[in-house]
Amino acid sequence: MRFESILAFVLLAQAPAPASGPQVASATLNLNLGSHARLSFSATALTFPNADPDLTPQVSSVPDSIAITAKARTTRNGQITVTVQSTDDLRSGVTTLPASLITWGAQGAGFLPGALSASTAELVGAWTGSGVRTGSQTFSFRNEWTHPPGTYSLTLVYTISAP
Amino acid sequence: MKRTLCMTAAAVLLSAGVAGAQTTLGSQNVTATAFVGNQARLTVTGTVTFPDSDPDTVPSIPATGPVSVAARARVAPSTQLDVTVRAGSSFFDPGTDSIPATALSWTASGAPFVGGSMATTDQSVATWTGPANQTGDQNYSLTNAWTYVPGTHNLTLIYTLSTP
Repeated sequence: MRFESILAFVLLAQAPAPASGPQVASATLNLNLGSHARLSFSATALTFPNADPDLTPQVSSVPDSIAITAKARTTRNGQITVTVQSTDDLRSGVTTLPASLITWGAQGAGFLPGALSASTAELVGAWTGSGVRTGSQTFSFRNEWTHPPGTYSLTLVYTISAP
Repeated sequence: MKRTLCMTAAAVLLSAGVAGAQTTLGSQNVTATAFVGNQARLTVTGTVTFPDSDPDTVPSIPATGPVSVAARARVAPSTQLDVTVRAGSSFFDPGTDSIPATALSWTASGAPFVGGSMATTDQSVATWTGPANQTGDQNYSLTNAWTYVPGTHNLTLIYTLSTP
């Protein structure tokens, strides 16, 4: 009888103690983020009015600037670039003028000045990492006496890229 | 009895791209239009002065300086342009007959400018085709003669930029 009493006591001592204090549990969270990008412009059309080359050797565009917003998500330390390339030289019928007659100045962190090209993509801006970047370009057209008269047009294609 | 407690740490995973290669994420077009109209300007500068000289030793008096001609025109590529000059009267000092305008002649600094002799009708100074910014010099000379009346004599020269 005594043996049975001792055995029951031992078993009771090894049972789990009642729960007390905070309870901890875990779960696994998966978040998949892809690369995204968006370019937006305050205007999508520019004009350069006719002007006397002696008085206005560099014709400013109308509007005088285009505001650009570049939004992109990329890898940590990834390089985000915005480039621009024209689809053709300035063309009026069969007569052309070099696209490089159009140049721009830049405002805003990471935005760069440059000259347009129909053969290569020219850098508009470059940044590191994800974010929203805003700036502007102010365009000029080099006005020369040797330009045959006409209405010349081209299309600028802006591209945003990231790794 | 020993218990082993395992914990699983929550992890946030970001997709990792391939280093070095750029991928186009988007594009946007902007159109640009430049209006280039006809323009023209003719500018003539310089003073033509002939110093007094002995006709026997200086039969042709060169002017002390050139006349500079700047002719600028924005025209269609096939358009011919002419710069001409003519005397405003048949003689120096209109109303007199001492020194004829035809006593003047000039040489030019180079193409498309050409030399010539003065007349009361348009004489070619330069000619070319298409839009251009042309600049050149004329170096005048005056035939010297004993028949000229002493004094200061003036003649107006009229320059014209035109298309045929």
